[in-house]
Amino acid sequence: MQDFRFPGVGEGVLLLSLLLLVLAPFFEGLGLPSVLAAVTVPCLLVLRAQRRAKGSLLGGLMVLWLLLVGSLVSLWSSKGPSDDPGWRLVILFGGFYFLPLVLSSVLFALLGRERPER
Amino acid sequence: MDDRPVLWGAAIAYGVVVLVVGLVAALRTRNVRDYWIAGGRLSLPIMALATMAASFSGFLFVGGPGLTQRLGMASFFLVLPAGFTAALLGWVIARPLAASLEGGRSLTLPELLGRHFGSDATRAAAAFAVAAGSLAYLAAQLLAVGTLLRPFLGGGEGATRLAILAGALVVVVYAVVGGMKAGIWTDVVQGGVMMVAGVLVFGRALAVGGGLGGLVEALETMPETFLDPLGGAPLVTASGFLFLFGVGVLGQPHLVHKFLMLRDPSRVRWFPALLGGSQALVLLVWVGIALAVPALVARGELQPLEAPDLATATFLLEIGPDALAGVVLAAVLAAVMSTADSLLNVAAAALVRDLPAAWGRPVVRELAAGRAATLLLGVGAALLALRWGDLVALLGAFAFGLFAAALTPVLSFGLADRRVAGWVPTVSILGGVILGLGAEVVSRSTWNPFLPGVVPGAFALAVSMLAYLVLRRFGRSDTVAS
Repeated sequence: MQDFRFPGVGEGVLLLSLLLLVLAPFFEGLGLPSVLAAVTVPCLLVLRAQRRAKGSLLGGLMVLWLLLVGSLVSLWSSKGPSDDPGWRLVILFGGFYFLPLVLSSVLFALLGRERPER
Repeated sequence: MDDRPVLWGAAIAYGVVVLVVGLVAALRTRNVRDYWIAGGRLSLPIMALATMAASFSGFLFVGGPGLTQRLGMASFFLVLPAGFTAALLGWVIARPLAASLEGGRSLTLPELLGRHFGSDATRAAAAFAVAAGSLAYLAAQLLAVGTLLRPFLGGGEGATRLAILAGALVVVVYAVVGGMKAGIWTDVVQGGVMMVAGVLVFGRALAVGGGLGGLVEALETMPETFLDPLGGAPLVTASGFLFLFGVGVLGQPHLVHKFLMLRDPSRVRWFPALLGGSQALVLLVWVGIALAVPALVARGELQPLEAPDLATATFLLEIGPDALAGVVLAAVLAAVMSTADSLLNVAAAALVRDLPAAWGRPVVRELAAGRAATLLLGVGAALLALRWGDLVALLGAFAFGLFAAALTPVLSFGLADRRVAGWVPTVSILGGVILGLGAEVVSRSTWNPFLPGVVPGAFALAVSMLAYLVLRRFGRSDTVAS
């Protein structure tokens, strides 16, 4: 915990994400990339905090999570599998709020314990 | 006031309970450790509940539903990050603190940063940022009380002033005498009221709206694109909300300060579950009011709102029975006061503990000075809210962004980094203050260079984080800080 370093290409991805968020307010075409960047930055901060083997596991889970977010956005933009007009609200709050809440809380409880260095 | 006895009874009963709890806690406040960090021996559930109460301000209850009336579904991008911010706080703030020695020795956030980076200048810069941002945030909270209670008190400037003064009086009394010890125990009461209100409001919204399906059916008939994934807002608004409220939460001093109060900082395993679960219940207030009011307007069961920010007051006056309205009114006051007492405390500590110590002249009678500073800050915030309403609205909007831009880089990157020269965090914090203020002022000026819908605080935060990463490449220290 003495030096702030990302594993692999992490720091490059972080810099690119932040650069996108800095430029997005001036260029219309950067709207969608800036949404992805806004999701990527907190993921990278967590990856940095969780080192070594657990970090790799967490990284894999986050890739799955990003894929899931992509699927949810696609479903949300469509009419959904039924005529129920509450579909979008279920996707919105179930997929984007409660699922990350439960997943991140459980992951932290399983992986997030820290032993003091003293 | 005479024709709503249940509503006003609930609000007055809430005020009395909070005052009594605060004053009882105040009797147990004996030293600066009690005053600044509630003795530093809190259990995790109490700390998590107090953090939740402090994290949700009056904006959640008043500004949030109003924002949904304006932007539709895009406004919920401001809420969605709460699904992961609790775990983010745990990973990025709680774990490094648990692994370090500074957390247990520090009574304030600037003190922690000063020790971590081995720099008095960093401590002074952080104290300046905390004090300046807190005063603006406080004034905005009091103005929210005035805005909410104005229609209940007959309208007009006199009603707003009366509400601001009454709100300031209650919170300043218990914050002055009891400091954070009173703040924590009132936060627990206030957090409980907020959670109960969340469940009741959402249940009432479903009942009057015909369930989730009935609400959405009514909203689909609205001419605007209310239910579209991004509502009527551009993508950059969604990404701005996600980024500012997802990552910027790491720089909010009144939340991070709570980690210094834990009995055992290494036992935070269930912190995200406790904080996130309680936040989910309270957020139901926003979701319930934001969906029910436009749905009932679309059905013709409510008159169209004169202004979007009147959604909550309309819900209380027109939809809820008086008992429910009384609980929600108490919850709004609770949200405002729990944030305000935390801000008063961190700002007073910055003024009487951190700034003098950073200049090598620590205050001798710190407890008495802390109480005097809390009183002065409360009076100052009330005056600011009374005198400059428009300016306070601007200050309130940028206060979260200012904290985020000033403190997020040093906390999210810096707590896990000891090989950095002391000037890097100092420059980062001061630069963040300027960026946070500058971006907000520029976005409201005639030469605004941003695209429509840009969230200025998100821009300031991104620049500030990028700048920190660049600066630290030039400011590497060969020796590890203390």
